[in-house]
Amino acid sequence: MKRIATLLAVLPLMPIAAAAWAADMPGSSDLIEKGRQVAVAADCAACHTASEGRPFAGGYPLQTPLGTIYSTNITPSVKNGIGAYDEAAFARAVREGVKPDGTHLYPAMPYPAYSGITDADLHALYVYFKSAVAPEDVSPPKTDLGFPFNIRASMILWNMLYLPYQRFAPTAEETPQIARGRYLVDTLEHCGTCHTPRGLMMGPQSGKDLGGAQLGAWVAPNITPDLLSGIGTWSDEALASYLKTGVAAHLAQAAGPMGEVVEHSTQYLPDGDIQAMIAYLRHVPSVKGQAVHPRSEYGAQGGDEASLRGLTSNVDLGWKTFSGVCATCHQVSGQGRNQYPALFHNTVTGADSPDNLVATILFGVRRTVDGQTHYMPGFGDAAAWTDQLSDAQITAVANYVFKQYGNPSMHVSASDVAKERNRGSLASSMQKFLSILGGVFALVVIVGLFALLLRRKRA
Amino acid sequence: MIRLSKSLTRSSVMPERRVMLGRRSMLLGCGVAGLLGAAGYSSVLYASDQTDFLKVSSILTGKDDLDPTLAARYEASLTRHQADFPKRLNILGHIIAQGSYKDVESLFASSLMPSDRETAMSIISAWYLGVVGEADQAELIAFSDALMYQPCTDVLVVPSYGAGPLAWGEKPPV
Repeated sequence: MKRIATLLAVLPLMPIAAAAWAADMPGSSDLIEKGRQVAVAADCAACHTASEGRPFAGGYPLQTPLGTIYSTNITPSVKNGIGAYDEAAFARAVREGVKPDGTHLYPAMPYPAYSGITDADLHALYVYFKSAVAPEDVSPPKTDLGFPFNIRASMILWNMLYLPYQRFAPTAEETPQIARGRYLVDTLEHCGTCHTPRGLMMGPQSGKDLGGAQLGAWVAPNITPDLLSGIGTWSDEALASYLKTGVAAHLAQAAGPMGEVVEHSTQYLPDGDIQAMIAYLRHVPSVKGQAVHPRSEYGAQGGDEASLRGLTSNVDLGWKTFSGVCATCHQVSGQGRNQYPALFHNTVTGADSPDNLVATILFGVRRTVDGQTHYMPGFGDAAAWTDQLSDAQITAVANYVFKQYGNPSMHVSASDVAKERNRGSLASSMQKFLSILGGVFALVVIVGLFALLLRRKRA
Repeated sequence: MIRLSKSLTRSSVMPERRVMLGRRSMLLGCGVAGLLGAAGYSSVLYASDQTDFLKVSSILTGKDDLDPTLAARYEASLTRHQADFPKRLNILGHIIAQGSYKDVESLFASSLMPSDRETAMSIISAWYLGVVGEADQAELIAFSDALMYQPCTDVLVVPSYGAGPLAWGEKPPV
């Protein structure tokens, strides 16, 4: 009934869509369901649904090194959404990042990955969005990046460099399962969008596919089969559990953007798709990282509870903060309990970058899987005043946790925490890097446009 | 342990002390006559070290996995609160060694001097409560590591620590 009501509401608004939908009338519910599955696998909701009450209405702020990019309204609203798009226009937006009016989208929309979406899946996706998603007449905030990134035409050049314009097709060398996994990992789930490091021009670095990358305050780790930096030591069960529930016991838990991926997408994937993704991830070339020891194999249960509890002077601030805040859930010896993970043998504390531990402390964890919310409060600026931790406290407790339960070679300074608090990157060179990047980018844009002009004049 | 808990119960229901905590009544109940008898062993001195305290503690609590770090802190704290504690510990250690007592039940069944019983109880009290001393003199050494919490840690977490959502079971269907 709801679907019919939605349709009735949508139909008068969009004659084109209605025609397209009508053409698919036979077996259309199967098609819509297929489209819904593609939308789930492509995790459209993670970015395009900012509030649960308004699915796909956009407005979700994506923190990028270039500034905040707001996702667009992709409901079939004619005024604010994709209501007036025909299927070709829809396909062009999804696969090439170009709106019908010629405006270029930023590659925060993973159209370079989506360019691989098959024609059949794209058709189903279009039918699903047009006929089963309720139109929302809301206009998300405008994305306004600083110069030179506000020149959207510069994306033409970027696309020439980085957009594959290639549909997915299985190759003769790969098994059907690995092919399916490749389609899911590289195209629909667009794992590389976060897990592949970006170069100077924000394009994926060649030879580093899925090798791990910085993502705002978080790090998307190396998910290649490398034994030290990647997921080579994880069992199939652990990987499947991670994708299905967000937790791989005594290994890892999904937080930050990955928590959203599990919440909106991977938990709903059929088991066959999960197994296909795992098969493909085992198959991709290993990328060597900085790690000298598997990040899930650091640390042990223990701590300073016996020696420091009750002391009132000369108490290490790291332990004091750990004892007063962290131990409440992670327990006095860091062993965790029930839903609360242990702090040792944990990829966050054993990582070769401190970012995810600091980000977890600052921003917390919230992930709803199978109706159950897994929650850790953040202790940053968004916390209740009484729960907020200072930079000094977070620095001390992060260093304490690394030393006691994780990778002891990790060390953060108060200025690292302050930067992370502002959602900046931990790499202190990032700001410098960005200004250089801006300059290079502007130069390339100017040269590129000049070259195009010359070519056009000659022609 | 049965005998010990009986004696605790008995002293805690003494009418003039019924509002006091078990810990306090335990110490007071055992200790009134205790001071009188200490002199009997005062000339017997043995080297006291952490291992002795740990050994004595192990027999008194019936546990062989006591934390040596906590043992050192309890011993130091008991000494801060009772200047003659090292001497008392030596005496108690001597009694245990002489009588080859293997557990607190057989030790307490012997003709123990009240002062030695008091020493034993102060050690047991420290391990179980995690606290040495009384009222504003009380010194907290352990909280979640206190022995009183250990019997049910497989099911319960120490108060103020979290066991996780739905730790008590799934939400019943409405």
